[in-house]
Amino acid sequence: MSAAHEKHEEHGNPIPKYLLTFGFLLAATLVEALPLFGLVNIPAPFLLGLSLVKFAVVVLIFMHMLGDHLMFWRVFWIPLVMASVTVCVLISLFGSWTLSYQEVRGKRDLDEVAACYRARYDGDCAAWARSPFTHNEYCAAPRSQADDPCQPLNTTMTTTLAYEALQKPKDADPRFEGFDTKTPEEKKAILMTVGAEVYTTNCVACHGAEGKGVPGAFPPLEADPVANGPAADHISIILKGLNGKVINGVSYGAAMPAWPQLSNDQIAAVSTYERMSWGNKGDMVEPAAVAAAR
Amino acid sequence: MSAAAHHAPTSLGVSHYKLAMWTFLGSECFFFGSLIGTYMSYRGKSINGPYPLDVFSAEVTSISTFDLLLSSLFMALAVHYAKLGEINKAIAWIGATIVGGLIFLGFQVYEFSHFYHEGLTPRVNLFGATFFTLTGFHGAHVTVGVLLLASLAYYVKAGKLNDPGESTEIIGLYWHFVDIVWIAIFTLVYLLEYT
Repeated sequence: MSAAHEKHEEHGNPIPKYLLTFGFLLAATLVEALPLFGLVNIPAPFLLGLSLVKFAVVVLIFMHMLGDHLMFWRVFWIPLVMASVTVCVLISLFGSWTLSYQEVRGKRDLDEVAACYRARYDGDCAAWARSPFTHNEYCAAPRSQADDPCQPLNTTMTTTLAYEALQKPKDADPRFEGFDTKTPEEKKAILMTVGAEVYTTNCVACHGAEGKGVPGAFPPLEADPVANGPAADHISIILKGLNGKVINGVSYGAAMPAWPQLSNDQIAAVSTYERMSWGNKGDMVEPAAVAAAR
Repeated sequence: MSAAAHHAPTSLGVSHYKLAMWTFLGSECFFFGSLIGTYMSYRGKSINGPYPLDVFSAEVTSISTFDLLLSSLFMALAVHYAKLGEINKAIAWIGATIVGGLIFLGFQVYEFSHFYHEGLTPRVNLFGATFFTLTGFHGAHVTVGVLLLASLAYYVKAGKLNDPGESTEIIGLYWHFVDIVWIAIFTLVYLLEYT
């Protein structure tokens, strides 16, 4: 039987068949590539159908499924169908059957979602400081429907959306317009005003309104060696956080979180504010220095 | 009788090696199914850019897709000659397949670094996370395929295989599978963005 089979194979030279198959695959791919270059608009269902045909042709001819033993058919096609059903179920549960990308994007006002999460992230800082969570965990955690303004917008993937919203750069503060062309006095006035706001929103819960901190827990910024020392160290601590450093001979229990979500303008402002308040003798920090440190 | 008539006698009546590869490819359907399902579920949900159309390059994708299809043809020819016992021709076509695979990987390295410089990283948004996971695992499969082909060429040349035809066919199955996964990725990840 084996010899007869080999004879059959010798008679049927498969190379023309392979070339024909490749020619078909090439033609199909060329058709598919037309919309890539904006030449023709082909509807999504047609593209999906074409790729299914390509898929089947490769399996049937290049992988010799056609005419091969049924056992191979079973161990491949059954998992393939199960996996395809899984993909469809996942899309039904979590995704959208809208295939056109432009329509997918248009389905929700993502800017509204981002603004909502950013508002949540900027507020509530004092509550977070007393919670056992990291800043991102606290701000991204789903809350009860009543006190969460973002809840009606999203029921799934809340944390992921919140995380992305945090990555989004904030809109520029109009008070920093033309900052580089201003005189040092004007610059200082802007930085101190904005810095006081940033400090009150983000830092006051731990370091206190007068920069005195909480003994044993949060270090004071008044007479702090960093606030009176090189600006680069100051920026670095705000950007990256700090843990376990002994300051003026005292060790503090609570770690300082990183604040990369603040803009360069805000970090320059708050560090200037800290360096020039409460009798501190540090120098002014400009946004360019923060940008360089990032 | 089936086309697979050259193998040694087995209890199942088919080559165990070949059945093992088909079974493995069945499990690979689940593997890529879960990655594709995740990509499709998160599609269009990124809040931040870069979005797919900000970074995709029609030229790179088309050429690398063509290249992978061509390598599938080379692989089929290699299997054909290996089964006929024309070892030198088989090795030449295996070599051509390897070159095709390396060109594809080169395009992927170029694409990934281009995307990175455009600001798309696995952690910047959902698109980045799911895109790099899916296409990265596909690229890893192409890499494994290239290594398999290289060792196949070596063992065929050295005459260390009992049945070079069957070994080439089995590794060819893997190679074609990697190609059909790309057919799916090409359509679902790239083409749909242009509709």
